[in-house]
Amino acid sequence: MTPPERRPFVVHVDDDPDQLNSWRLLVARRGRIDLEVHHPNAIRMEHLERAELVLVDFALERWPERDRLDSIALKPSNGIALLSLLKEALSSDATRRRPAFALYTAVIQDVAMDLVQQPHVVAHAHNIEWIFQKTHPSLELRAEQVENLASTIMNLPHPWPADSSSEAASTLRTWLGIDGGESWHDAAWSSVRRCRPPMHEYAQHTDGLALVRWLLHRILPYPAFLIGEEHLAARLRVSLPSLKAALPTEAFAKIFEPVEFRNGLTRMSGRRWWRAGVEDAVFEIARTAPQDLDTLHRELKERLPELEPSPEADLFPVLSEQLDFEGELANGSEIVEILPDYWPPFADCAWTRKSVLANSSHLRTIAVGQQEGE
Amino acid sequence: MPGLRFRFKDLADECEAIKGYASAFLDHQYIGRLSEARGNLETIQAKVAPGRKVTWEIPKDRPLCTNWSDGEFERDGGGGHQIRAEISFAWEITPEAPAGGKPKCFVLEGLASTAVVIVERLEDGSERPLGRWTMDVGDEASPGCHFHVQVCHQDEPPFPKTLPVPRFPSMALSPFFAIDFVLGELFQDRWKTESAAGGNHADRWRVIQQSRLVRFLDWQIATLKRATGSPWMALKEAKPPLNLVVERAS
Repeated sequence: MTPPERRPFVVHVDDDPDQLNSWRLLVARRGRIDLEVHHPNAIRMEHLERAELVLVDFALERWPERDRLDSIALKPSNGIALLSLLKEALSSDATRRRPAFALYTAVIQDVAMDLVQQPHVVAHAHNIEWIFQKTHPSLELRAEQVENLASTIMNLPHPWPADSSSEAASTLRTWLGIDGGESWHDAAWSSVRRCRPPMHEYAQHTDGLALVRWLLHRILPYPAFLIGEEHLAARLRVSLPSLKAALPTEAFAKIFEPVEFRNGLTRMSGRRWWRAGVEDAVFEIARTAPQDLDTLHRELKERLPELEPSPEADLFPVLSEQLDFEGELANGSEIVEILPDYWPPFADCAWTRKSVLANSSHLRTIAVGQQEGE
Repeated sequence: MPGLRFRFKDLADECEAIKGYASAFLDHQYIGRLSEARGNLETIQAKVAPGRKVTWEIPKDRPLCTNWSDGEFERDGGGGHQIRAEISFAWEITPEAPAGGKPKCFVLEGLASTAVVIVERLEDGSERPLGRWTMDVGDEASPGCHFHVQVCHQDEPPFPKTLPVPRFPSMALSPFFAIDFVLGELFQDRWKTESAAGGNHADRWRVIQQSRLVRFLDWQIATLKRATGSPWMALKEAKPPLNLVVERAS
């Protein structure tokens, strides 16, 4: 349990606070953050000024005081509107660290409307840090995600160094955990720079919050300088189920734990590994011939017998209609490239199965070579 | 000291630049092989002991592939084949002992070959190789132009391995130059237009290649000016200085 004086403070705004008693009690039992749940009527400036994280329900229906008003400008219709109002209430105080703002909702589909129901996509579209889903089966995981986001905000360097480029770079490197101790850290830093981290005026303007948002919206969900299980399996040319089987083993930890991305925000996205670190690990494993797949597979199988090497020269993570990664990788003959609107140019290409296109007008719309004139 | 010195960072930057610059002309199924090559180079820089020779490559069994050119190897798309290029390379490189910290440079010595295979797609969907050449960098003992192209150079005629001539002169100073060259050949009109456009990747590519080619041509001109016999033989026999690629262009 975290000592009270070191706990982040989270204020949770909901139109029916009593419905969140089990949530509140769970968080209190875990003892990592201080959480208060309030009806919108009860929110005060001191709540916002103390908070590392402000959570707001989306569907604000039980709010008669609001409903009695005539002026539409005084009636935030939903959590998005209320979040904007609360954000701007703080913005006049430039000396104060800003909290993160997130929705906490059971109806992400109502927030997303025509967008894919990916929290990072919907959050980005609505200018907030994240969307926590009440419908997620694990209340403990939700609590951990909220705690980790709040802790991340609390522990951001403050103030963000603005006068020196080298100091900003050094601060970011330390925050990401690649401050030069390992052989692959410089390569990792080069790859971070290619992804245009907002580490100067944006970081200063937002007290580092821009970097949290960059990580949550632009980096963790995509294969860039960090990769998830799917792209790790593809790099090793092994089946994804076999990689998942190997993940909990000590042998896997011995090889890949030193290159895993350690940051509380990965609880939102899943485990991530530094791509430069993976290259380093692969080089160590297959030192005699690092580019030879037979050597790599032989050496991997010796260390991680759970792995099933593939004979394919390349394997591809593939996306579903809602842009979730599927549980199996595909080979080159099964795939077509897609261009989702918000897919970063610095990330690996996005792929889906040709067989999925027939049943998805959305994927057909964004598939390369499927549009008229191409 | 024999060999040719390169900066690790220059090759890594070049790899990244061509990936963006040529993205519309490279088959995206295979473009990740460029990223793996860059990652491998960075790992060599970080981990291989100075003085130890290693092979840095895009292996020939997993080449980088261009998109299909539907007759675009002739102006106005009048060519009669649907073809693409499959590009692989193997460079034997030796990181140099640094003054402090990790090596900034390596020396290219030994095997330094970039292979281009032209593959045709037939009407029934099958594929067959139509042609092959390599763009090589020689060493101290190699005959022929130090930077040269050899055609075919496989087991069977024409131009089998046992017949290493002719070695045509080339200005391919890196494996990634071969990509620029091949795209200009396979997409005569479109690459001409695309390569002339500006943009971040184009600018980075131009800066890298321009200074390198200026240094190369300056060296060639200086060689010609010193020639006492056949100017061609002077060019053929000339060996580049170690720092040809890393010295600043005049």
